[in-house]
Amino acid sequence: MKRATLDEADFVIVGTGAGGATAARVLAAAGHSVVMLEEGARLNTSERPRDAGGALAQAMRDGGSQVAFGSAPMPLLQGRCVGGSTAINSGIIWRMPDDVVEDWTSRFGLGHLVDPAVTDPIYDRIEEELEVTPTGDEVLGGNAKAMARGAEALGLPGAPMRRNAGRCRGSGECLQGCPGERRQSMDVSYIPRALADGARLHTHARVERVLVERGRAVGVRGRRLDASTGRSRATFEVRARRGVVLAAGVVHTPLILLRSHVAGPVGLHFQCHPGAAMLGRFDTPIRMSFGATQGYEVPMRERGYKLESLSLPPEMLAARIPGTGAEWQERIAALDHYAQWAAQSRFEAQGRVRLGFGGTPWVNYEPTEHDIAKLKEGLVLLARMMFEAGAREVYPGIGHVPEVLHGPDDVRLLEAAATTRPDLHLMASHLFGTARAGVDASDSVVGPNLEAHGMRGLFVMDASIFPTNLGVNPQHSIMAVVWRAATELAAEDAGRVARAG
Amino acid sequence: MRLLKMEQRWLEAALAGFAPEDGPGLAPRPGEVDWRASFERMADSSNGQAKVGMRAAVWLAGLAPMWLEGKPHTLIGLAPEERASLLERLLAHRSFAVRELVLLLKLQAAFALLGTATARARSGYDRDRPAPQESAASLRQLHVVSESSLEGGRS
Repeated sequence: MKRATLDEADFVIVGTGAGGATAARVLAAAGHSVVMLEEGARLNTSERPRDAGGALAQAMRDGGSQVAFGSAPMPLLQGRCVGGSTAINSGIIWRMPDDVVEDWTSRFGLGHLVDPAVTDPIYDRIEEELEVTPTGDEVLGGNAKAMARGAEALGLPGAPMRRNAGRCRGSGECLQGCPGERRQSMDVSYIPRALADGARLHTHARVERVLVERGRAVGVRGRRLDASTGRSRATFEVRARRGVVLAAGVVHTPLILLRSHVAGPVGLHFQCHPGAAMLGRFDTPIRMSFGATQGYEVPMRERGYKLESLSLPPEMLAARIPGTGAEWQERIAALDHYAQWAAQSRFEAQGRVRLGFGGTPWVNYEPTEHDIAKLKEGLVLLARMMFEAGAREVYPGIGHVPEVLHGPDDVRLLEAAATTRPDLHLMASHLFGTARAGVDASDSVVGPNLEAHGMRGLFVMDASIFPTNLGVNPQHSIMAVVWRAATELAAEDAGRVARAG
Repeated sequence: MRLLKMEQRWLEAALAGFAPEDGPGLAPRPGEVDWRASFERMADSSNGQAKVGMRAAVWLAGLAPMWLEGKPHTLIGLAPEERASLLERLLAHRSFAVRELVLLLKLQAAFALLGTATARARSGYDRDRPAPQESAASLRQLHVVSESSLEGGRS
């Protein structure tokens, strides 16, 4: 098979999500030559399909069918396109919580990486560049407003979400790609900025391993994919004069590390924030089609979960409505009367990513009983909030619980049910930890500067390096940590070049 | 993913069983929804494990009258209302695997029905959605050095 040297640069960055795009933005702005490699496609907004099936097929890894295996499979949702998951998410912005900063500092020796004296100005700058603001009342929409009513009735600490969509018009199509490019996902913000600074972008380029010479990463090797069929074509190599940055995501970064024989607990400590959603039917219209896809949240950090409004495309909404045949058809004729909210929890379970058959990923993950109990508490609270907000019926979507709750008294049936993992329809989009950072080389894959302990010139800059999950949406923390590390890398490398000169 | 003729008929019987034509509410009109095309599009973008699950779901539903009710025929032999009733039983089955696989079919049915422009328009779901203010020409066109259609580079 033909192997071509596709390109060469100071830094080769694998992946264009929150981590890879931020690294490209910082390194290119510092004057380094940068090549970005993306396995997925460039999705120009005007060409993205508006239906859910088309959106999943085009922008999600495996069309949304990637799962973690345990006593029940759990979908792991990740973007696979230019912009990565930032091109499909709701743009929710949270800084790393203080207790996580303290934990990483004390247990993993990462104080240098997450020191608020350094990261706070970085957060400020990212928020300014990505137009981060709280969701305005004019675009909250009926789904989020109903949730606000429920939270206020129960005295819960809810608030409009802060998002990177300051000019949001409430199209409710974050998954399909914001139709006006108002959400500042990486494909419309940091990647164009890096390109303007001279970076180069190659799509349909699947990286499989790191090229190593005399113990140093000097490039990557992979396969080019056919844009229409996805089948692999010729192999390629891209050479890196200064360093290789892996930012292929929590499932695929460890696979590249494993194929490249990088030492350490690669693939271990996989963590996530599994969530489950609940529907309520209201007499007055909710009109989920207008408003921010996600606009309101109730952070219950001390309890270990967060409640969020979640507006979905109608295809996904309809699938969650109970019934078949005439009963289902009558219910889905009133799609604008439904609200959907989700509980997302900070699980303690840890799983593993490994190379499966044919080099594809195999993820094992089994929540603990405590995890399930914690999420269940959040779901019970959601049901209460729905009735307080005026729901006529609530559809919990939980096994061994009535599929329709008709009033607040019925919530006790949900509360009393002995819920186990297979009773819940979980999915996770916040993934962490398969190449974790730390000072102890025997227990981590990269050091505090995000360079691999066992390979000079190889850096990991995505949520794989997070030694724990966060309990909040991770995009902002990923960007800040990568910004910090990439800035130091750029300065260090410039110094090395100056000294050599 | 290519289905056998028999699988295609089971699939269409199952998906149409969730939303029979000319039913009440948001029902498809005769011939309006291409159930199979929607299923195949989703299967084509799915990974190998999911494809196995999707095919298993078709067999499970297609043969459900036999294994669940002891009847000597497949799903195709049932009247539309009987199919709906059978699918409801499968969705509430004690086995997690059965429930999940049939829910996967329901997801396909919803995607096919509401992915059909005319049915979606009848749902009225999008009537409150703001129209984009930007013209296609004003949206960003990312410059890519090479896509797979280009050979690029130096050999």
